[in-house]
Amino acid sequence: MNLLEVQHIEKYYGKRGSITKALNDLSFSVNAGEFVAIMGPSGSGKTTLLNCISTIDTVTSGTIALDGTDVTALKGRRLSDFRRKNLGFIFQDFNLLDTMTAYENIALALSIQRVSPNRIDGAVRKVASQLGITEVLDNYPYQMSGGQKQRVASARAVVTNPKIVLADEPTGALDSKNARMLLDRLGHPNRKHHATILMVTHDSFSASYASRVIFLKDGAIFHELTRGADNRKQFFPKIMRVVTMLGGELSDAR
Amino acid sequence: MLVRLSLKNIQHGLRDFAIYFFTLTVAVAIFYVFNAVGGQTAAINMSQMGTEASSLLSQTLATISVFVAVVLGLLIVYASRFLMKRRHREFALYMMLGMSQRRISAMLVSETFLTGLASLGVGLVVGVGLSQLMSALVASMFEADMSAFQFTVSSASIVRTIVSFAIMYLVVMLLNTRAVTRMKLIDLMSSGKKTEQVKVKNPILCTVVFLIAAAILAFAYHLVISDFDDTFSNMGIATLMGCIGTLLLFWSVAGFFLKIALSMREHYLTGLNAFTVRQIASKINTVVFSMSVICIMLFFTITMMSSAFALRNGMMENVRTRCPADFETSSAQMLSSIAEGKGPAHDDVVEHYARYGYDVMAPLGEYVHFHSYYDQDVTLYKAGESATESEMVPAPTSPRAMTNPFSTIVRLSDYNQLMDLYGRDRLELSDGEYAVVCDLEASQRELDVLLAGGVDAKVFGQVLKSRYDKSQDGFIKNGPMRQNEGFVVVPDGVVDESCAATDYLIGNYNEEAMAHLDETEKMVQEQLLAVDRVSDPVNADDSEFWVKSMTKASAVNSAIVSGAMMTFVCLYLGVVFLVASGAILALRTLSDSVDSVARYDTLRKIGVDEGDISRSLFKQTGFFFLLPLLVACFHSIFGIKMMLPVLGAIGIQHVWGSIAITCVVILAIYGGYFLMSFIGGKRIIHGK
Repeated sequence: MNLLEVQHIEKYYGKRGSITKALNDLSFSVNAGEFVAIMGPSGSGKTTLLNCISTIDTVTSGTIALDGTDVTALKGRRLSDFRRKNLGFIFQDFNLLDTMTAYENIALALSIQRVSPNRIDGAVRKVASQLGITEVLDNYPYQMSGGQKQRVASARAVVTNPKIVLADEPTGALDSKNARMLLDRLGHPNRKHHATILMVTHDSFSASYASRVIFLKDGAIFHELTRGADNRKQFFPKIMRVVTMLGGELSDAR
Repeated sequence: MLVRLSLKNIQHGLRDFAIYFFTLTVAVAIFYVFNAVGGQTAAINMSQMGTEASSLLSQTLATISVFVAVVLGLLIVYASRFLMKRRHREFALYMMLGMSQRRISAMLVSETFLTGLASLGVGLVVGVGLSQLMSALVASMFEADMSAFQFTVSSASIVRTIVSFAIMYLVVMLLNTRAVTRMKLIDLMSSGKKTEQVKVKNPILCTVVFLIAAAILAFAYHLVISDFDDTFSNMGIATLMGCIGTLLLFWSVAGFFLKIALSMREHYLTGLNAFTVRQIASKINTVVFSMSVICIMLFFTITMMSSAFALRNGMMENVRTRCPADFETSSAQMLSSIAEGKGPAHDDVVEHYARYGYDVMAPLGEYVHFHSYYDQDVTLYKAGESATESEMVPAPTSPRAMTNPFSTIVRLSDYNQLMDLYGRDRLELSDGEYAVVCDLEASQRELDVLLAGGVDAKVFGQVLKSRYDKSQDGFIKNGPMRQNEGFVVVPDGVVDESCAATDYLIGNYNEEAMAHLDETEKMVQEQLLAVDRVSDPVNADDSEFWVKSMTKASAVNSAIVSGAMMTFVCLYLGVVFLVASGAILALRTLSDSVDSVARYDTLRKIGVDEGDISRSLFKQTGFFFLLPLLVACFHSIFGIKMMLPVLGAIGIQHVWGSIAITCVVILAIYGGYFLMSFIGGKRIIHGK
């Protein structure tokens, strides 16, 4: 079953005369429970794509359907309702609220959905143990390491059981050890509860955790890889090969 | 180049600057408006009471203006320093680019100069406009008609405003320059990267401080409401204790706040409440001092305005209802001579004036000339017990404890004659009856309690029964204040002529005197008052009698002048305090919004409604505006109680009305600043 259906979307920037096509007739779909990575050189439209799917940005044409709902047609209150109920976000710079503890940051995602306060505690502790952050729950962001912060942010994204988790360079600000730990943990709920993850990255190593990798170039799909029966170590060189094929343009890939 | 940079900076920092500039402009306008009041008074009022009143008003307002200038100066220094701290990173950039500190301070000076110039210009234009509206208030204060309305511009006030504000801006420039030369690049660079640390105060210490604060405040409240006589001597101590108590209270509440919020788990984890609470908690500790100052300013504003308006309205009503006669003079025995144990003494006022060669009767038409009696040995008994002469009841002494209301006795026929002159109801008494007449609220209360139990009075050896079970509203002496602490009216036959006391001559002017009222008044004021001055205990400590004259016109005049004075002084201070409070809070909440933009972005990204975000901002802004106001309102209940002895003499019924007016003024200015902070904050966090 296709959870996410992206059809012929285009995104133009600029005015008449100097139009930049950030996304150029892009179509793909994601099944429920998939972990999809999107790779591509800078300026290939990865982040624009993610922003369009996450309803932060709007497309110029085309449709994006999540579980049958056309998100490009949503506006105002229904839009934020939709975002709150169906989407989970993980950002490169964590976007934790610095005035609140880890616990409260995670709980906030539930309380803005009007989840009853006595159900919040259980949900927060469960997701915290899955992501290995139980011991930092009472800490403020400034008292945590980058890896811990990102795992708290991930906990906030998945605690509401969203239909899809959208991750924008989640490992971008982390060292490789912390990145591995995050992806391991993030993979954990993915496998067990079939949460769907769409992750934008330019890091081949991070991408190798995904079950499918979509490569973008100039706003269009350049190539697509499916892990299939491979394990991560077998999958990684395949990704590297495509990255090399994309050439110097993905030079910032690790 | 420097000017262009300054202009660019002002433009760029407009969201911080707007409220600052607005406040400067309002300050200039207020300063001008109240300084111009004196001149407007002179224009409106020339014919009625000469220049004396208006020059007194101008002088008072000018003196108050010095204090106001200090308050506004502190506000401007605070605001500009606050804004400067927010620009540390900008300064760091300038210094990194190789700008010398001298250039930076020159830039700041030119910024201050430009904003100063602009605010003075705009403020004066607004001030001149507002001052035309003010002239309507001036006219109604002096009960002048508005037909003679003129567009007035007071050049003296303009000059005074410019000079005062020029000095304030100069001080700001000097302080800023000093601050800039002391800045170190390394400190400036790191100032933006402060980690958001939530300091949690020791809860035990907080509890202790809270209890101390509560105790201090309770004691201060106790001081002002318990000791009726000593209220005024305690006022200073109570106010000082109130200030300290308020500061400690806010300090401890700031420490408590998060704990209390966290303990309400259910509520805390609902919607954006946790975020709102954390936002407030992250800054509450830094605003303890400013909130205390604001609370105290609000307290003064509420108390001052409410009592001033009540006093003014009360006096105006009293001169209308309690000054029915055109002229009054009396000769009373000095209290000191009574205290020395001499018997009652009487001196005919008409003869007294005649000794100085004046004929006080000359301008009078209708008049009453009579005297009261004094009985030192008056005794009270419970009703019916007088026959056995047991059960003596102590007479109430008036709150200020000078006289026993039962010792002063007036004959029924004299009293009723006077009431006919005043156009008030006569008193009916049968033989063997008496009535107590008073109009001072505090005395009324005590007498009513006493008389409700039924009291017989033995006056000049005769036992009389009380006709009524409460005191009767009435007075002999005219005046803008209620001052009758009580006297007894008895049937004519009771009195002993050898105990004659205060002599009264009260009457209305005859037709001729009325026809030349201005000259009559002038004659009376100059000649008779000159005689009075001789017997005034201030001038003569050996005189046995105190002779005092007054006219209705002078009572009305003095009520108008002192009423206007109180109104304008309290309005001036109140408005300035409100503007200062509102401006400080607005600056703080707006800059907090600027600091929190990223947080609101995060909220939006995780799917929080714009509506919920606005509500959270509303709650945060509301919290900081409401908390000091609530505490100030609570303080004011006791502040107004402190004024009750004075208000009681005027008539207390105007308090509610004037509290309502005060609320409107507070709502307009303080509420206005609240709205500006909220709307401005919303615009900032919505960005783009």
